[in-house]
Amino acid sequence: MVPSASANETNIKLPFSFIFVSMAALMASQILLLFQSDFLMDSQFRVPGIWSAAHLFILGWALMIAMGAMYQLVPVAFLTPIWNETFGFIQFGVTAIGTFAFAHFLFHDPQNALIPGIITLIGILMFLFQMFMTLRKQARPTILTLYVGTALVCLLLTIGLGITMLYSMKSGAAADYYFAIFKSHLLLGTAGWFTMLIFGFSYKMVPMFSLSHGYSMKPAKLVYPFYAGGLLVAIVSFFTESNVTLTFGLLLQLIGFAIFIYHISIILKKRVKKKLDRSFTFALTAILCGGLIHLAAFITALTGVFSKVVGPLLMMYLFFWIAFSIIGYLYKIVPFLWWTAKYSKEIGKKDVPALKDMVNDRASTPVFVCLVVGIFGVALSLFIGSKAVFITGQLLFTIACFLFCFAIAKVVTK
Amino acid sequence: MILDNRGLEPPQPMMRTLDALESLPAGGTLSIINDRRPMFLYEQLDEKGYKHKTSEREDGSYLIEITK
Repeated sequence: MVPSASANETNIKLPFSFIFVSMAALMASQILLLFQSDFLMDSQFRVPGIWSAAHLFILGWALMIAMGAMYQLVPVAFLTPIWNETFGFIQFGVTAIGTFAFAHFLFHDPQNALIPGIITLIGILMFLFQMFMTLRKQARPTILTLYVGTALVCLLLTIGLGITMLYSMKSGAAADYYFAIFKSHLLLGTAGWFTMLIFGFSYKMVPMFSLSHGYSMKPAKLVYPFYAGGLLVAIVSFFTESNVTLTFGLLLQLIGFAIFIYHISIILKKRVKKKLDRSFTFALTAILCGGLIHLAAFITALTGVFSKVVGPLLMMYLFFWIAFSIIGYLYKIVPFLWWTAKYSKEIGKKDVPALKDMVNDRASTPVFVCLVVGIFGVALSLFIGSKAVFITGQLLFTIACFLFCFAIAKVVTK
Repeated sequence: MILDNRGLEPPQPMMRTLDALESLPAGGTLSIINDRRPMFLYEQLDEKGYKHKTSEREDGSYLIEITK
């Protein structure tokens, strides 16, 4: 049977619940970071304030937004309805409560963060279960199902390792492997979960936003083994403490990422839409940044200074690649979502606004400039150890985040 | 010319439509049946000056008639 549009469209309240709560987490995390300058200048990243801000940013913002976007995109992109929407709303509640409580305890009482950590874990597990039940119903799995599926497995491993660390901290178990687990947790959470997910959905969204056709999908089959293989090799290196293995793992990831960039450029060459939207161009720029950071990671590993720069590199990876991809795509996804919910039944009956009227694409430029300049200032301050540069950069970035949230919130008034 | 894009994963419906539009003679009409309204295509059609009309079908899919 051919699925109809209505059967494949998620109740809009579900993705929007995630998106709006994630905005609150974004603002809270950035404001909290603003007050952590003393620790950041000393390269002390593992302190309560930064733990809390990092988890608010990654779990509260990026993960919640990825969940909300997936509730909307999976049914559309993979032609399969969400397994159970009511379960989705419960999952939203559990994850939101868990994440904010977790961030609160990490800040005030890290020793007792295990219980809110477990609530967050349950929320994420519920999401994984929901996606597993949804994707297994997909009639024809494709290479992109593999990307999204792998991303979900990486997410599961990331939280599993995170909980292991909390348990280890409390009980002293597996103390010898604590750093290997910690590094694997960071790698799988960033390059595993987010990168694989952005790769998978970029293959759907880049052709849609650029109106491309007649391109080959073969390189996608090459990106996967290189990148996923690179992740595996890097994790082995953490446990064997072998720098050569780590360098090799980073090289494989770099090759995978480079092929991905090449593939996206092939898709863009075949586009019909000549002038790309600014927000979409921003997301494309993020892809280039991701590639450059992978290059920097490999070169620094090769020259033996990787361990010295891994903190700032990871931070840049989070912002320049992951956050900027999400922000760029969100400028396109949210208007599409809202338009579909509000005007889909009215087309042909009366004049309805065009998709481009839903968000001011031109007004996004100063927001993107402030985000880039702000985070560049923050990264620079970490390298040179200047508190003034940090506060200026972080303040600019926080203001830009607010403007971004405002632009997204304004869409629902159209 | 009628193109049935139902049951295809995005971006397939859009790619098939663009392919068909390329070979459509000026003044010709292409009818497509999609599970969803081709939101991102509309802007391009407007930009190119192609006329288009969308109507919902009984099964919940959409018929879009595009005149080049």
